[in-house]
This record gives sequence, structure tokens and C-alpha cells, in this order.
Amino acid sequence: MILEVNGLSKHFGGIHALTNVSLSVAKSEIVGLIGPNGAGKTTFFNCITGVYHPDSGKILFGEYARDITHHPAHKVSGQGIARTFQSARVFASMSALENVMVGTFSRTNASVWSALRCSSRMIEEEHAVRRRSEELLRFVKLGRRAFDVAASLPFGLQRRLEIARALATEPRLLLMDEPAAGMNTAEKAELLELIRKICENGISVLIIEHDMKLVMGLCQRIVVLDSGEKICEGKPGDVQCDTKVIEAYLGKEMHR
Amino acid sequence: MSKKNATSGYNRGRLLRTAMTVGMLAILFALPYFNHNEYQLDVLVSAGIFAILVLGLNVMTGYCGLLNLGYAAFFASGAYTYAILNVKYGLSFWVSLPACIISAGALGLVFGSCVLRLKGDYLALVTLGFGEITRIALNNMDGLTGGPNGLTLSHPVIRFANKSFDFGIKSLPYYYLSLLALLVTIIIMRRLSNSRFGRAWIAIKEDEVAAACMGINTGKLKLFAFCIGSAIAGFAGWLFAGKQGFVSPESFDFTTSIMLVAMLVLGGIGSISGAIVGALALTIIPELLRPLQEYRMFLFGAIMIIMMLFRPQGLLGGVRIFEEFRPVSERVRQEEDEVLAEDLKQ
Ligand SMILES: Nc1ncnc2c1ncn2[C@@H]1O[C@H](COP(=O)(O)OP(=O)(O)O)[C@@H](O)[C@H]1O
Ligand SMILES: [Mg+2]
Repeated sequence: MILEVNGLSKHFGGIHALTNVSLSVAKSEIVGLIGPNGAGKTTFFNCITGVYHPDSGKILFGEYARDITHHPAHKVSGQGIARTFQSARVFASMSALENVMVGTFSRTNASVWSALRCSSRMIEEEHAVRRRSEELLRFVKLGRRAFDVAASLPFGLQRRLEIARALATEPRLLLMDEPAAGMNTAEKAELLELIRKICENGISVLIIEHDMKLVMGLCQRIVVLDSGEKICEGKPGDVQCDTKVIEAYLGKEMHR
Repeated sequence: MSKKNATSGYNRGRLLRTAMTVGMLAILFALPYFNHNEYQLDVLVSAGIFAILVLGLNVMTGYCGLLNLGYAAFFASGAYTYAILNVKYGLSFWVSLPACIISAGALGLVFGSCVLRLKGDYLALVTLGFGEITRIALNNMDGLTGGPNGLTLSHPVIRFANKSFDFGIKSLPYYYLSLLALLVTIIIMRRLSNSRFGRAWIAIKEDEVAAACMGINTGKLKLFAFCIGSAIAGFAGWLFAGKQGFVSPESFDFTTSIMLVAMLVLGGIGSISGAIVGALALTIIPELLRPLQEYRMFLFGAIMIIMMLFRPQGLLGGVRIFEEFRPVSERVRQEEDEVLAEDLKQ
């Protein structure tokens, strides 16, 4: 297991966004996290990545099951968890290339002093960062857009840029929050291909997605959330037929 | 064929930039030979000092997005450090430099670590308050600062072998000194903004949560930006005190802080050349409008409003990105074309 979440709970005032949610992801596994809007999926990601502090529960990460429950976001990233956001939060005024270069921050160590002196080690590191970032941009098929301002990219490309930026942090686990939202069929097929390739590189993926075709085709295991609770977990085919899941999506009345 | 064009285009751009830099430097260094006007040189010296200040403010506000409405406090810290060291302990201008930079930087570090958990408008308000408190403190700590009467201190002197050269009250030596100081500041700024720290600062300004999730320790980097910005204000304060030969709280009031923010916004937030142009424009324009006496402030306000309406990003806003707009490396282009061709075949 690379990620193991035990009994995670989080409430905002009276809203119980997450209640006792447990979930695990194995190495090189693609796990889907689905559920209707407001089910608590994004909150779950925010708790794992240190953006929110969970009220209770434990988050263990890595081969040695290190406890990262209350780590700040930058430390979680340093441990090897990267994420994308539901609403593509790229650094708008920077070029696509610079966006990806930001991702390498915690994996580089040139000091302020070496930056001021322009030491040869710092220049070498900077070249390496640039090469690696160009490589990642090509990996997500954005090589030609390297010098475009991120804000000028269409939404679909911003999503791919976010993926490249997340990969630049050298993660072992990638959390993707609705990466296919707003994409057309061709773009979705490309995204599917891209996620498979990421997984082949030994990176585990936990993906929130509404497009059932994409989730069913991609994931080895699916976890379903509804109103902050885990209602089902299993293989794609089994989850699809689960009555609780159908109720959650379609409502009790309609099902009957 | 296309490969050649791309490379030579890049080199030509670089050559042009170098030529422009050298030309500009030559003009700036030769200027006093063509223009002996004491008053005009003096305005330029002030503009130079303001440019250094705006560059420092640009680190906090321009790169990192931390609006500081009390920046004059850090400026004052540098100026008063030299004044006190000179008046009370007889230290010379040159020897005081490290102390001025360190005292302002340390003030930024301590103040920043207290208030940087605040965001946006709240931070702006606290910095505004800090600026006012500093001015009032300087006014009232008579024993140390001379209160409202200020402190009179000695001008810089260069001793070489057994000759000595006093900078005195002429503008010329200060012109070269501030030009040199400005160049040093520009080089520091360029190197920082092109480094991983510069990128991290801009990322924090754009989206703090996303930056933190990309592994950036946002608290530490914001504090670092605050510290560097204050240290540069200390540097400018040192220069200012030496040039004036006199410091008093009046020079470090709220108007100064606001003027610095206006310069930054006018020139273009986050741009090095913008910061300098903004400082030059807002130092020189009011001087040109002097014949209008009190009415000049109206015109001044009108210029700012027109700017905000028609060019809200500032005169040179976005220039930093412009420097990065080089042709995509030919290697990338070729590989992509191959991939594209293969895709088309299928
Ligand atoms: N920062 C917050 N403050 C208050 N309520 C929140 C916050 N974030 C999420 N919520 C609430 O938590 C619930 C789950 O939201 P979210 O995790 O975004 O759902 P999903 O991503 O599954 O659509 C919603 O009811 C939402 O209103
Ligand atoms: Mg969501």
C-alpha cells in the first residue's frame, strides 16, 4: 500500500463533509473516487494534501507507512503526493514552461547565495530543470505551447499543464480532481492514454471523475462516496450494479 | 533552413538587448558632462534612490503579492541606522553600510514573522499602521533620533593614500554613487527573479494554495521576500541619509509609502524595468509641473486615473514574461512534428 487512509472525518460547522472514510491505494494502481456533487470528494483530497486539517483519522503514506496526517501542504508534496485541482489552478501570468518549472522547487536546492553569485552549480541545476520541464510539457503534448502565457491556453490545455506541473514534483501518488471536466470525446481519449502512461511510470493514481466510461475503463478499483460516507468499494463492474450506488446517483424514489 | 533562422533570430534579440544596455549605461554615465545643471542632477539622484526603493517594494508587492503601505518604515530604518551610528559613534558612511542593510532586513524579518499570517487588505492595513507607528516613534524618541528636529550627519568621504575626497553637497558624486547602487540592485533583482525563488514568489502571488501543493513552503518564502525587500529599503535609506546629510521623520511619512506604491503600479507591478520607469516618471513629472504650484497634484491625480483606465497593468507590466518569449527550441519543434506526422499516418 502506498496510501492508507483510516477513518477520516471532517466537518464544516454543521456540515459533515466526511465521516469515517477509509481508503487505500496500492503501488501502480489506479483507483477511482466517485459520488454525486457535494459528496465530499474534493474535501477528501484537501485533507490528504494538507490544505485542510481533518478532525480525526489517520493518513499513512509510502512504503514505511509514514503518518502525514497533519503535515502542511508543502511537506505532503515533498513526501511524494501531487495533485491537480477541480478548477485548473495554473499560475496565470507565467508561461507554461515556468509553471512546470515551479513544480520542481522542492526537488532543487540552489541557495539564495548561489543564485546571487550565478554559481556554475546553480546554472547547471537550472538547465536540468529546464530540460526536465520541457520534457514533461512534451509528455502532455504541450511542447509547442511552452512559451505561451498559461492564462491564454484553452481550458483543456490548462488541465494538461496542471498534470505536467504536478509530475514535476516527482510524485509517487497523483491525485486528480475531475481532470476530464469540460473535455470533448477526443480529448478524453487522449487523457485516458496519458493517465495510463503516468501509471506505467510507477506512479499510483487516485482520480475523481464523473465520466463513468472513463472511470470504468481506467480504474482497477472504485470507491463511492455519498454525503461524506463511503457507501461502496469494489471492481468497476460490481460497483456499477450496486443498489446503494444507483440510489445515491438516481435517488431512492426513481429507483423504486 | 528554419533551424538557422530560429537561432540567429534568438542571437539577434540578445545582441540588441546587450547593445541597448551598453548604450543606456554610456548615456547615463556621460550625462553629467553634457548637463551641469545642479538641480536637474539632484532630481535624478532622488529618482535613482526612489528606483532602488521601488525595486525593493517590487519583491514584496510585485512578485509575492504582499501589499505594503508602510514601506517608508524600512527606508527610515536604514537612514536612521547610519545617522545614529554616525552622530553617536562617529562611524563613517562606508563602514555603516552593512549595519543599515542588516537593521532594515532584521526589522522586516521580525515584523514579517508577526504579521505575514494576515492576507490581502488586512496585511495592507497592518503595514500602514506600522509605517505610522515608526514615524511617530522617530518623532518622540528625542534622545536617540533628535525627534522632529532630526539629525545632521556627515557626508561620505573617500580616503585614498593620503588624499581625501569629500562628497559634500554637490550632486555629481551622488549621481554616480546612486547610479552604481541602482545597478547593483538591478543585478540582484534580475538574478533573484530568474531563480527558483523568483518563480516561487510569483506562484505564491498567483495562487497560494496551488503553490503550497507544488511543494513551496509559502510562509518561509513570503518571509524571505519581506526580508529582502526591507534590506533593499535599508540600502536606499543609507544612500539617502548620506546624500541629504540630514534625516528627519518627515521624509518617511505615509505619503512616501503611498508614492512608492504609486510608482510601482504606474511602472508595472512585477517588472524590473517598470519599477525604474515608474520611479523616474513620478519623480520627474511633479518637478516639471512645479510652475503649476499646488494645482500640480490635480494633474498628477489625473495622470494616475487615466493610467488605471487605459493601462491597468502599468506602463511596462508583463515585460518579465516578454523576456521569456523566445522561439521554442528547435529540438522540441522537430520532435513534435515527428509525433504529429506519426499520428496523422495512423
Ligand atoms: N471550505 C469549506 N467550507 C465550508 N463548507 C465546505 C468547504 N469545502 C467543502 N464544503 C462542503 O463540504 C461538502 C463537500 O464538498 P466537496 O468536497 O467539494 O464535494 P465534491 O467535491 O464531492 O463535489 C459540501 O457540502 C460543501 O459545501
Ligand atoms: Mg469536487
